Amino acid sequence: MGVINRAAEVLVKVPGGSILLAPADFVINWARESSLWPMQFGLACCAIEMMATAASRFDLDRFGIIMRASPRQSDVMIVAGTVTVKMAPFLRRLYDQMPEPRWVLAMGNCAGAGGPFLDSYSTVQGVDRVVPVDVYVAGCPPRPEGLVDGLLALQRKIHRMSLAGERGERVTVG
Amino acid sequence: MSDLMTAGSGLQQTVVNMGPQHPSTHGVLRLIVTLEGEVIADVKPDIGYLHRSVEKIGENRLYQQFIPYTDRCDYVGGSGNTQAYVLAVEKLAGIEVPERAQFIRVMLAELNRLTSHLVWLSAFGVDMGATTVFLYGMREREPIMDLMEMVTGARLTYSWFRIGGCPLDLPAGFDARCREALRHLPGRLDEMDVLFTGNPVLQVRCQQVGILPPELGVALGASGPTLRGSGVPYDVRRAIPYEIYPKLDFAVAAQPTCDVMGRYLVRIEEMRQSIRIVEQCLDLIPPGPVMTKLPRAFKPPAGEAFAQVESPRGHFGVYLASDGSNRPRRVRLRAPSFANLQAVPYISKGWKLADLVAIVGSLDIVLGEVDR
Amino acid sequence: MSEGEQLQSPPPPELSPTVEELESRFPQAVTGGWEQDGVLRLEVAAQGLLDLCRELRDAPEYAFDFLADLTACELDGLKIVYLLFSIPHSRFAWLHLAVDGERPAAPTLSEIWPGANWFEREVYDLFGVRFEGHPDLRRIMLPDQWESHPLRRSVPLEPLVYPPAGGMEVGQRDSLLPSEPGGEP
Repeated sequence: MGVINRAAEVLVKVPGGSILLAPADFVINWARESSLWPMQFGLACCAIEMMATAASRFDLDRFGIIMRASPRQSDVMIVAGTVTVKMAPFLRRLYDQMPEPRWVLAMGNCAGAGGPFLDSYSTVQGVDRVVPVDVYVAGCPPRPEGLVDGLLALQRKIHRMSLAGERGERVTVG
Repeated sequence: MSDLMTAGSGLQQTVVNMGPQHPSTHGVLRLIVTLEGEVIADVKPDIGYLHRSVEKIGENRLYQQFIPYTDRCDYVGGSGNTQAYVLAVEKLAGIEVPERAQFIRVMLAELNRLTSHLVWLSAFGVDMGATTVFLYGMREREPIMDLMEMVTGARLTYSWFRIGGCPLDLPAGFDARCREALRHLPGRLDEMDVLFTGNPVLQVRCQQVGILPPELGVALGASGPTLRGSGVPYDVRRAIPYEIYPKLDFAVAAQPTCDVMGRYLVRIEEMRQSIRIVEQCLDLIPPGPVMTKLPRAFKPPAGEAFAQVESPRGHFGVYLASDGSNRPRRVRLRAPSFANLQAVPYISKGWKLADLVAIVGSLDIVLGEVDR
Repeated sequence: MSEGEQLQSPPPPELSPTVEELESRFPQAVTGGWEQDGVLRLEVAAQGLLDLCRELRDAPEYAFDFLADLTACELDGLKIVYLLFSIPHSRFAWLHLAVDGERPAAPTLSEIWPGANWFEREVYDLFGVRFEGHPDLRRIMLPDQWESHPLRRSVPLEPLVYPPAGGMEVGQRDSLLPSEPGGEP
């Protein structure tokens, strides 16, 4: 995709080039957001609510979201739970193993900012100290509807992406 | 490892790392598996990936402020943890809890046992490859979680019990809704029995696998369905009764087979017994207050106390030490999964890697309470 | 009780024949105790502790076959707290072993109750108590390179600073990672 990105950047500078870019952006963003495959990174309590969201009542499959176990096959890493000092290097390593484009959704208060374990000697105060985060979903644990809201916000964010442009600002939901 | 060839087997030993991020380890558990071919020679569990220093935090919080942390240890069956903690504090301070509050606490703890076992069943199904059970189990869990939400306002980490009772009474209409939700559940459990328990693939994968001899189980400190699946009928609700359990009529589920199937069947039976307990509570619950009034600046006398409950995973114990101030000197949470997990190296030698998934699944560990 | 009223301590329990018998049979190990409400509370010392525990586990009148808990507590000095349960008799034995605050050490009970293995590792990890004779005494909750024993009172509760100074490079081998897979963790 690197070549295409460079071509897109050139195209934007050409007068009238954006018109060519917009349909390509639309199709590519639609494809990416409609088939977000998260890597299930359930660490703690939020993982159970993530499971409940993927299950029968709150079904994530209707959004095209299928939980994948391997980072190599996933688009978004939903960090659900507290990140501890022992786990943080592995979290970084798994993030590095995800192919681009990749996003991170910090689910819950612990992943967002440390949560109730803020003053603990062994937890990382927010996963954004380890990986860049795109969407924060607040809650302890967030309701499944909240997680769905976060994933839809991520979809809207992807929709705003452009082949030639920036990733976009961070979004907080919940 | 210097010896890569084991004497006599002619097979080279391979070390395989499972976790800490793994779909079947039920959390952040790392298993370092030494294989000879596909047969397990040794398993070393490596824990601590969710160590959130809950016990140290407990020394820096007021007694009441620690209640939310108890839920987050065994996050699937949080009510049991909170119940053990408040029981320990009440023992330390000599507080009497009104009977209605005890009934409510037992009812919510048993409903939580149902949701916890349904999560276990769903996850176990996914581990075995039967994803239908995951969808069915989580679906059955939702009405019960709606009930819990009606009473406590939360779906998973309730943090609802208080030192001295319950903060609120049961809402109007709870009785009817609870009976309605529980009316359908036994039939659904039967359905899942036919779908899953009777499945020949599951039977081959679970019968005679991961044998935990009862003496070894007791010596390792295993408890709950892990131990009852080996024929030892040790249930804290019967052995060391607490709250209003002496007034309730229920059977202790135990299976003599000591294998994965035995532990599985124990949990299914426990679900049915929990339904029975909740219905009895609804029938027997007396009117009255739900909370003993405590001084605003709650300072229990100096001393120590311990309490234990039967959480969905086993014997969950809390040990408290107080120096007379408003913060505990020591809060110790004895997690059943911590002891149950010690059994993994003993019971998985000689089995294959796929059986290890079944064995770890049958112990029903929750890493939040293993690591605290 | 009304607001502002201080909660009273329970009255001390009476002497017990069981404690006296154990004190006479294991004079070095048992230094005191009482019995109340089905709980046999003993103050013990390290000398002869293993013989006492073997007796508590094997003698049919005690039959404390289940190690319910093994932890440490720093209230008036550091002590190891053992909570034993007898499944046949449904009663508890609660042992308190005072250890030195500077260099805490205690004998291991992992030969008597194999379940003590991980409990003692946890006490070593968080309190720094060395268990003599333990087959595998290393940290269990915290990374191996961690230096302090956080649950001691002398260690204040301070939030972790992460990532460490200097940041982390992509792909950098973090010093907090355990040793190579394939070797001993």
